[in-house]
Amino acid sequence: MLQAYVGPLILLSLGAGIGLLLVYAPTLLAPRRPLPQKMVPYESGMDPVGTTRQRFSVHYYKVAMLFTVFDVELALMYPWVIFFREDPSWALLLFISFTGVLAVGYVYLLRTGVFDWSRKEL
Amino acid sequence: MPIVFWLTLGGLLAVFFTLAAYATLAERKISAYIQDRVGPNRVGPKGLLQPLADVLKLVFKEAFQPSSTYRLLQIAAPVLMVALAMGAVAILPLSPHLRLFDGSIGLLYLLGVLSMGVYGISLAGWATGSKYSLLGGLRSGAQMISYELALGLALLSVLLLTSFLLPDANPLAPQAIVEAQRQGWFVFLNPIGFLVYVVAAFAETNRAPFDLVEAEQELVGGYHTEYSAIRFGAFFVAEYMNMITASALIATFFWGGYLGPFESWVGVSGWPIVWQNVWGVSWLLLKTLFWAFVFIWVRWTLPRFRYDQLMRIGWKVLLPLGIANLATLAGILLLIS
Repeated sequence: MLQAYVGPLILLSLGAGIGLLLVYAPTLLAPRRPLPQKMVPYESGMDPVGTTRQRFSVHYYKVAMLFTVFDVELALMYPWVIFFREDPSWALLLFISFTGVLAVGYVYLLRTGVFDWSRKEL
Repeated sequence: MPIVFWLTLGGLLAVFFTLAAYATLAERKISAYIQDRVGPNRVGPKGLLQPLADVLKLVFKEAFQPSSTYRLLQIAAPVLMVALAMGAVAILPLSPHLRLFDGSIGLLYLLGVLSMGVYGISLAGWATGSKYSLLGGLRSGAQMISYELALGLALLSVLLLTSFLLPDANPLAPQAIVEAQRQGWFVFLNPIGFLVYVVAAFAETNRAPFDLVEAEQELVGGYHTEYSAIRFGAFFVAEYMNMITASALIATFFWGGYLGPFESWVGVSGWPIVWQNVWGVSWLLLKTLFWAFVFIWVRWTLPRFRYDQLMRIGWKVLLPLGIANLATLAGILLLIS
């Protein structure tokens, strides 16, 4: 049973190994000449203004929350696909009622403008 | 593990690395010819050793980290990206008799690996403390999760067809998806699902026209602005690995994978197993190369979307289209049965 996962496991760990090798190669092979100017984050040649890690648009959080909702809905559909071949008509009815409920929420989201990102709508 | 497994693993790795390395050269050559230039032609015959030269150059360059960096996180991001890029390729069935992953959860594993990719990019954007990086990482996070829904819906339609065509098989195994296409490639049976999947795959790999993450004109380098030397190279490698994997997945899910055209007419199933394998692997390779070419072709032909357009397409077009396609497909299958 677990033998089936040997292939992916080898590939994943090999990938991590190669990644580590690439990331640490410069420590061994490359020169190091740190200068104060070089250690400043790039901001088109200007001195950086303020710090980077501050508040950013709440819109990203909203998208992340919606993603969670819709992804759970997707996860529910995988068993549904398997169920479909056992009782297609009942399954289709379930699908329509399920997405019907979902559609109400989706239309509400559309109207609140969560999916609009242009300047004047924000 | 049997010897065939190790041979398959070795062969897959050799081909995959070669493809990923030469995809970088192919991108430069094809873009050059599209723009009526010649492209790199100095290193080796016709520039064929260019990828090697790039790696050698990058390895010996200084890799500095700005003082505002979370060092460990900044290093972890490229490692994660490369590992995930290699992990996804494991589920590809290479021929009727060759595959690395025999598990029953092939597709769930694939979806897991694909969605982990968001972490690599947002981590890289967050860790360096550069504004361009942060914006690139944020955009990428929002973009990838938005298009993941469309990707999942398109995959669901593939699963639905598979479980209908092969009632005894486990539709989550990639092998079953390809075998089901003996009755017709899914690009013909499920054209809308195919379109949704291709668009979502372009967005998931952050390739043009969805490469907002690293839009040079506004974000400099995007999430890898503060990466230098081979640490930048690691992202580069991961990106091209992802492109090759995405091409192979499109081929597997919609273009019949290792199946050639007129398979039953040619009578492949009567051949010795070795020749069946050669036949299957060749077709898969051919289709992968074709799709890799399309990825590059699109990048140098189409202009980039604006961010609000990108989100609109993801949420207002692809998501409803994916659900409608699923419902229509289920209705048609119900009528047939």
